[in-house]
Amino acid sequence: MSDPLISLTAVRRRFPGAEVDTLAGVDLTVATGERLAVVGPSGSGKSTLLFVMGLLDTPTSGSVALGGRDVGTLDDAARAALRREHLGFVFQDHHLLPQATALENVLVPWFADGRPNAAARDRARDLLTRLGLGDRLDHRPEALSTGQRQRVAVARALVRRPRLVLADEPTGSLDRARARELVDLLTRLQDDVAVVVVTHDPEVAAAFPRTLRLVDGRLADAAVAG
Amino acid sequence: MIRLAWAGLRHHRRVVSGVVLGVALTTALLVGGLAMGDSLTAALRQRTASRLGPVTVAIERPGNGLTLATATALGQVLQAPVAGVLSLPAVAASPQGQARQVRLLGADAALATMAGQPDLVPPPGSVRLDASLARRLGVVPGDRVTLRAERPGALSRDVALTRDADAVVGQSAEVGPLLDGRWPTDLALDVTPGDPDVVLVDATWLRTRLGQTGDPRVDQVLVAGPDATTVQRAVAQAWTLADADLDLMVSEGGEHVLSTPRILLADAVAEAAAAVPDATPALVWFFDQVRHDDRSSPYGFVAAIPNGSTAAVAEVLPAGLGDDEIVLTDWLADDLRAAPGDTVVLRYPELGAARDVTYGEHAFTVAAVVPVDGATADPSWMPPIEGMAGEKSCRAWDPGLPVDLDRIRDTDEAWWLAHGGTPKAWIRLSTGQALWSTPHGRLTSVRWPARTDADAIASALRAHLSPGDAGLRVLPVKEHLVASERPANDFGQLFAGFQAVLLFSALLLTALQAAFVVEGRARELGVLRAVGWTRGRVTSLLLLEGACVATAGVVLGLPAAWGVAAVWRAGLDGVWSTATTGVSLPLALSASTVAIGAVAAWAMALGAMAWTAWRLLRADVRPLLVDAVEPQAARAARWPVPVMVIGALGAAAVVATTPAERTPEAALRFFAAGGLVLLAGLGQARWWLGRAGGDPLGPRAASRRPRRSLSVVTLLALGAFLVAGVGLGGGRAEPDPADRASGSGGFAWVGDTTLPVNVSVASAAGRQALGLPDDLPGVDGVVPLSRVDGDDASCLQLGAAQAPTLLGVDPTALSTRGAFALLGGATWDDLTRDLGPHAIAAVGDTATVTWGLHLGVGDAVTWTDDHGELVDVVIVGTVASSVFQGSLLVDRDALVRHFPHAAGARTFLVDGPDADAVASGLASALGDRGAAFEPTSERLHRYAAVEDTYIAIFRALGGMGLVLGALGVGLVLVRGVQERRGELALLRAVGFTRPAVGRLLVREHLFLVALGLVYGTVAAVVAVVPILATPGVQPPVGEVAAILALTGAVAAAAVVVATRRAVAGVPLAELVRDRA
Repeated sequence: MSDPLISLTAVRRRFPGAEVDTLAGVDLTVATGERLAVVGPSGSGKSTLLFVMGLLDTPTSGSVALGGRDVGTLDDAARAALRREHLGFVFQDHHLLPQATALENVLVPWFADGRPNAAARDRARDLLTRLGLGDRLDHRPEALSTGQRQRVAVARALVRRPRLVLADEPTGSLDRARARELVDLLTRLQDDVAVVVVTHDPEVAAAFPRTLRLVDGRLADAAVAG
Repeated sequence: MIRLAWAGLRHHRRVVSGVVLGVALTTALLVGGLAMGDSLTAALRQRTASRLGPVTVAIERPGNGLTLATATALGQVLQAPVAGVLSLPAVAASPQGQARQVRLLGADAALATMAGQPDLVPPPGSVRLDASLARRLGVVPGDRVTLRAERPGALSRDVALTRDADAVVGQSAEVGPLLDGRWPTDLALDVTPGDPDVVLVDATWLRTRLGQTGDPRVDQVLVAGPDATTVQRAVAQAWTLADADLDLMVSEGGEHVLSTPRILLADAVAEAAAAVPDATPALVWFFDQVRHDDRSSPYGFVAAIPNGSTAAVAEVLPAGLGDDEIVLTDWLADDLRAAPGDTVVLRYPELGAARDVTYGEHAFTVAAVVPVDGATADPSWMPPIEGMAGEKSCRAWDPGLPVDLDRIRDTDEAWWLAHGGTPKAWIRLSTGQALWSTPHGRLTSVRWPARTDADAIASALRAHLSPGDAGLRVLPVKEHLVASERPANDFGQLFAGFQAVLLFSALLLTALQAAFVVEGRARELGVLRAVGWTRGRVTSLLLLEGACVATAGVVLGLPAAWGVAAVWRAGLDGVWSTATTGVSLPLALSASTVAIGAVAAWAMALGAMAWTAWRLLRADVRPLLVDAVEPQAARAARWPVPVMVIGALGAAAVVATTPAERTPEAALRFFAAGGLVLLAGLGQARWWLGRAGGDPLGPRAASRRPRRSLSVVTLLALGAFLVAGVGLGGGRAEPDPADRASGSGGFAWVGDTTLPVNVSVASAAGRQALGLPDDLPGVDGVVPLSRVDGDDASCLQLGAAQAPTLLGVDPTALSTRGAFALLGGATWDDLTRDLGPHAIAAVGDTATVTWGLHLGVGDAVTWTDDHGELVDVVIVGTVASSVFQGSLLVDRDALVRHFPHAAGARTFLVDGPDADAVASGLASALGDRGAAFEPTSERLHRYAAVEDTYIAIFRALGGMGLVLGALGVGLVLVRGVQERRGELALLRAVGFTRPAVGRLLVREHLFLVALGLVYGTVAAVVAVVPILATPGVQPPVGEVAAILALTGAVAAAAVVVATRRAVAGVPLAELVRDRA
């Protein structure tokens, strides 16, 4: 196995007022370049797991290490910096900015710590072109189809060359054909980019070499396929 | 539907409560502001009650009043309480102070009965004052005060036929128990600001001090109960010849002679008397000298009667006397050594205004010489000239006419002893009237043969004369004062206007919150549509909810309105007291005001909610179901560019053509120009929102909700425009007293006296009479004005003026100086335009005419003159911002024609290089007449202070409205964050820290605030450029800047605080639909 990129050790997460743990002691390691699908029924804690991995949520107990570094003691600014530098996100609701063009939406991560330079702009254009949106650079989301918006969201996730892409139900809003395209895109990313997809669609999960099942807050069936 | 609506309101009670509070605030402000109108009306009603008490009608006779006997008879005719009083303007003084404009009231038991206070009238020699007057005079019961008033007279003291030297009577009196505040403590029959100062004395004592002899007379008869028509009928029945100053006596020869202490019979009386059969009208004039060759005879009387008269003397005089023929008595012929056919020259006084006497001469041919015997030796021909009639020796004469006693010879004295005022010569009546007629009359007596029945004469005279002809005026004072209870300007609407920005802010915030509520329930409403509810039914549900919310808000707001009204009233009693000229307003709220305000607030709130619901529901169902009114960035709309162009060009055109004058028209143009610039600015804002330029994460984010963003900008821009525009436009140039075109007319000083000045300051005799130095320089810089006191129509008086004070001026005194800038092309010569016998021309201050009287050029106010006739005072021109505010200027001669007893000067304008010395000298010399002089700039400041206070109120309330709007920006931000939580969570996910997200939101919203404030301020500055270009204008830039800065600071604080709270709560779980 490649070097571990992100490791979760005995991670528990219980929300305020809840009677049970949403995550009840999760151990998980994702290696650099690994492709992983996490499946489970509705309410099983898949998104919570993704949020913990994406440093968007803090576990109640346990530890999370990114690149071998424990992130548990980092403050909000440090975690945000890590997200900027290493992580990319794709969500079911793409959350594009309606007032920004497709190109500007892709460049949003660059605005987090400054303004995008020429190289960043070139990369954004390149990504959109490769995703078949080369003629839609100046279009606003309202002028794009759902599938095109999701591709913009994927480009946004990749624009800063993350080491880990986290996708939460990325095909939820797409039809079968567009879903296959998106899955194909995610699975064919650069080898050093790890991808973790949370899905309840078995067809999507089947495209990934490793599938984990989350049931009642615990990971089960951790066998590696292929 | 009702259950569903109630369930919806309960479920969303948190956000709905915001709407309820917004409606409550709107209601409280609207009703609280309108309550100021009710409060002012209540204050004016209280004023009416305190001034009038039970009085409904008053009867007056300017000059010498009417008899007490007639007043008593009226009470019996009317079967109602009637009280005759002496009512004189007076000056009260003590060692500690002076009160200039007191009303000296001489009363008797009748007034005490009317007031229900048996002990009302003080004993002879003492006075009763109210507490405030006593404080100002620094006296307590037991102290002494000096009262000065002018003796009433039948003829105006402006005419030299009267004596002026002892016209002002001073009398010391002891202060008795103070008046306790009950009526008639504030008795007054007119509409003037401030509380009247009444000094109550015993009427009999006062008559004695005034030197009144004969039948007791009163100036006013107060009637309680009957209306004016009933009183008019009673007066017509009860009045007597004595009321009209008419004496019908029998001469030594048995002839019946009608004469008057007025010396000259009024024209109406003369006409009525001449209509009685066998009447002989006569004009008997005092001559200065008769000359023949080198001989002359001083002083005597010449009688002018018509040829063919029935008087006994006509049998002695030659028939058919020619126009230039004279009949001498033998005494005079001997004195002159004149014979029939000789020419004699008669020198006689000509009477001018201000007791001016010049001399005219006329040559006559002696037609005959008659002996002084029988009919020609009748001293009853002489009019009752004060200082002459009744004197035993002509060397004791002391009349108003100039008489050199050194010229009187022993032979003259002998004549006087033997014959008194018997005429020494006779001429034809037409000649006499051509030489000696005055505006005050053309006859001195009318006589009838002895055979005539005196009662028949009296009856015929009364039948031919109306009470008005006799000078009796019946005044419906209660109607007049009740009419003045209507405020000159609707204070309620004025205050609602002051609160315009505040109200607009409250309403807009209410509408925004209502929009939040409705938009937040988009999915819910979409489900209703999806399951088959029609648009109309869904709208009905929302309107039902909205009606409940609006009702709750109104119910909550009404009690708060009382609090708002109390706050405004406290302001009007305190820092803004100038606006109410010190009148303390009671807190009043009428049912109609509550209803109007409540319904208006309810309707406005419901309208805002209905508008939001309509906008939301006109879309298809699907957008509602997929949550939202999914925001789409603003597309470029079509209207902004044309609006920008039209607004900019229109504003430029208006500004270029607006004159720099402070006229109502200029104010309207200012608002038009500012409105156009504002419109252009808002168009520019919308245009910008529709474009794609700029940082997508910065201010461009405001284009997500273009309507909402534009609402914020509009709110702040409109508020800033009104606050800055009214504030900057309120600056005024310091008036240059020497500038003829200014409101001072180039006059440095203006003064008023309580008692009239009947001599001319410009004449040596006048200066001598007043005790001024003979060589006082600059007296030709004094312009005297006569005055008929009426309602004060200035901004210092809150009630509606009906009959404003009239000032009589010689128009040439103003036109030769080029004083004052008349508007609309009028000139001072217009004052002498002939408008017919029942109309006179007037010029008024623009503010008085427009705001005080609600009239314009060409309109008229109606007065009842001293002859009892209605006179239209027609406005022919106006002057802006002048010292004449509150009054109307008319030609002095026209004024005296209609109001002879107002002939003396009571207002003075002083200009010239020696104005200070002249004003000081006049103030000192006329102190006993209650003189007060002030720089014209001070008077103008006093008038301007009311307007300045209105502007200050508007600025303060407008500033509050701006601050409320600024707070509302925070509200908009919080709502916006809720709607954009997914986006904001995404930004956090891609690496934005919380502070970075906060900074984005702050930048975006402060941009809108800055846009609004800048647009509004620029629009205001552009629009007041014409005013600012006026030299000497000092706009309150600091104060306006402080308000705008405070608004910006509050907005910044609201945005920062709201951002912190909102961003802290952005849950990252919003990133996903499945929140597990």
